[in-house]
Amino acid sequence: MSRIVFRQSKFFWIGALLLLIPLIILMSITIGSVDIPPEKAISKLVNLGEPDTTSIIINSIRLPRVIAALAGGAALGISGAILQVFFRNPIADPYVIGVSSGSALFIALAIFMGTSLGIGNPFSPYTLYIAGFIGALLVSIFMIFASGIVRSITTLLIIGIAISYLASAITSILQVISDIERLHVFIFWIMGSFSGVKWLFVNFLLISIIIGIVSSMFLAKPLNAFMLSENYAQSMGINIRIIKIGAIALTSFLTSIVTVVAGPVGFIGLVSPHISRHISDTSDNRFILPTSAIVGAIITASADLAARTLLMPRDLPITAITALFGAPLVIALLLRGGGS
Amino acid sequence: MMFFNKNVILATLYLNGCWMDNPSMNKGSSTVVIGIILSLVLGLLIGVVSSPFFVKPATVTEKITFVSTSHVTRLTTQTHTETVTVTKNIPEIKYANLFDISFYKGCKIVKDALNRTFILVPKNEQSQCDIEGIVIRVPIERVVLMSATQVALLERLKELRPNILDTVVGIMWGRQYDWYFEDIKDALLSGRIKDVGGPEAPNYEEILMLNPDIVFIYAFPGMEAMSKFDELGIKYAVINEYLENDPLGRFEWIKFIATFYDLDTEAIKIFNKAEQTINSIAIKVADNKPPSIAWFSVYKGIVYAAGGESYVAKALRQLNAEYIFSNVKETSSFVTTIEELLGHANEIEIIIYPGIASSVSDILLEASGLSETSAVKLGRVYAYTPMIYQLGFYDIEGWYQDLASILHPEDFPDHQLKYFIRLS
Repeated sequence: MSRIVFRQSKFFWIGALLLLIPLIILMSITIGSVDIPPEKAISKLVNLGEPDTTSIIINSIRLPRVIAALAGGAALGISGAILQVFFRNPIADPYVIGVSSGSALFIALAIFMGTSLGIGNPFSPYTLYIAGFIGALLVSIFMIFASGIVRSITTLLIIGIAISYLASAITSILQVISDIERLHVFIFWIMGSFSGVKWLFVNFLLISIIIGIVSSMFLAKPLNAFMLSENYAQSMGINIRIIKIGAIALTSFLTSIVTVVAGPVGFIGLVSPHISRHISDTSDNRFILPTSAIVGAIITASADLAARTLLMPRDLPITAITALFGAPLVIALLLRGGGS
Repeated sequence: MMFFNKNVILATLYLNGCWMDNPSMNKGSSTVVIGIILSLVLGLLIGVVSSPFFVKPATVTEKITFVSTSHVTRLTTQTHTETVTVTKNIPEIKYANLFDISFYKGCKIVKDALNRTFILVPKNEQSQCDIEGIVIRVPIERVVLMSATQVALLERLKELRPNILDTVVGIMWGRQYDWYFEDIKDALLSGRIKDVGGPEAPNYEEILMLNPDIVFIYAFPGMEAMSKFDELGIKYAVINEYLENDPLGRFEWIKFIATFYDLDTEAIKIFNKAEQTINSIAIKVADNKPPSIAWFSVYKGIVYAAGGESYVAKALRQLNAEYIFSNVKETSSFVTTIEELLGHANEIEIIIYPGIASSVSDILLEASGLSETSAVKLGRVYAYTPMIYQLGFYDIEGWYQDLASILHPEDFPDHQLKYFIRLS
């Protein structure tokens, strides 16, 4: 009986969280500089009536933004959950493997030295996306390569951190030799924002996230075995090398996509797994991974809504909002649970 | 290589034009990808075929008379009245390098700072042009601005078109600035002009609701707003006056803005008057002994100095001063060390700190070695006053006058500084 209640409880939370998503979408498309009543928003969303400025605001500004935030948050949430189990480290997050630092380095190169290095047209809006993607991709490839040859997971974690430091060091040097105007652009990028996200990238993000989430479910069972120990997982017939490469490849891929579209969005990958574990009261990764994705999506979309509405007409950096509201929430949850 | 780049840019322009006309294209990524490829190919072809014939000299249709000076030296000043024949509505671009205005087959063609093509068509007239470009109906009636310098240029045009500011419906970061233009301040406070967010993340919703004929922006590397404007079908023109390396080149962008209002003749008059005033200031100081000047700010041990080919260096040369970093081949600011700066300590007679500082000791806190310069010893250290960022650009003659009086105080004994403050 208790087993049934336990299972019901987990499903209840997943269901309840899923129900929040349409609510957040509705809030995101109705709240903003221009007030749009929910009924009008819904009719515009389903393309009823003549296309007008309101429908452009909903379909080309608010909808892609909330979808990007939901998808990006889901990607970071699931990546954080995988890496915390994989590294057996509760403070691991998607940026621990150096992807965002690699992305930041290439974006810094494009902004600060774009003209001298001949990296595209420095004024092209797509230069940064391409540079960020190349940086993330190179670090991801290196980490996948490292995960194939390094035996200890702790060593892999240290390599990831070292790459982050290395990329950050070069980025710092570039910042020092840069002029103030370019520095300003770079600083805005590293603060992270879903502002101005385009459908082209939303489509790309959505497809990537769906692939990523589905693939991650294949990792859930091996990760459960990993939680006990690497040796235990091996004794269960799990191919450790494949799991290492799979976990690093998947999380690098998901984090790269989000970083390229929105810049580094901190805190989501760290807190979503903790909140998921707390509310679902289990460590079973078959539940934790999807729940982390849903929690990440909800927190990110809510934070994005707050970022664009709190100080209208200005957009705030999303990481500031996620940390500002997320940190007290996590502390409260952990304290309520006795810090266990 | 340059030819190739030009055509790639033209291709991109064509692509931008496509998006403006068809904002819905972006909803299907496959359509966009096909569109991009087709646009690139077509844009390249158009670029290759049309580039040699594209820009034609202006047709002469109107005579404008103005006074100009031909020699910049105190002893050989020659002021004469000159009648110049220029095309009506096609101003000659003398100093600016980043925009162009021309006629082609009866069409007024404008190129912005990113070499994007605009075809300006008078309202209620049919465009007869067979050129690819962004069509703008002129005079524009609703405009969103991105910077205070653009506001300053419009304020200057107000001299000859008093109601021009009525066309401004939005300003990015509008309520973040302390405005020195009272009419702008009042309009922002009353809500007639909207604050439409920051340049890095404009409030696209508000801009859409304002329904501007055009958004005047400046571009910086990595700026994302342009592609979002393309997606939303919002027309924008790029004014990168800050990249011009001549002060008059920066001010000459008044002609660019004016042409969208069909105020070309007015802009020419304003510009020529400013040019003439500046020339007379330059003549006045031409035969003095050139003072040596350092123009820099310091933050945490890093010196940010004006490049030797920047607009500052150009103005200093024009005003007969020797800039200590004149040999640095940079058109904007560049980063150097305090040691490098102090290497010139013996020469520095004047320091201009391009920022807000309250006293010399503020600067000496960052670079104490400067205390031995004659600039510090004789109290010839100056900083900006806050109004310089708006009024200094609006009143370019005043900016020159201030600078000349700092460099050559003996020639301007009664001058009161407006845009610079002498630090004690």
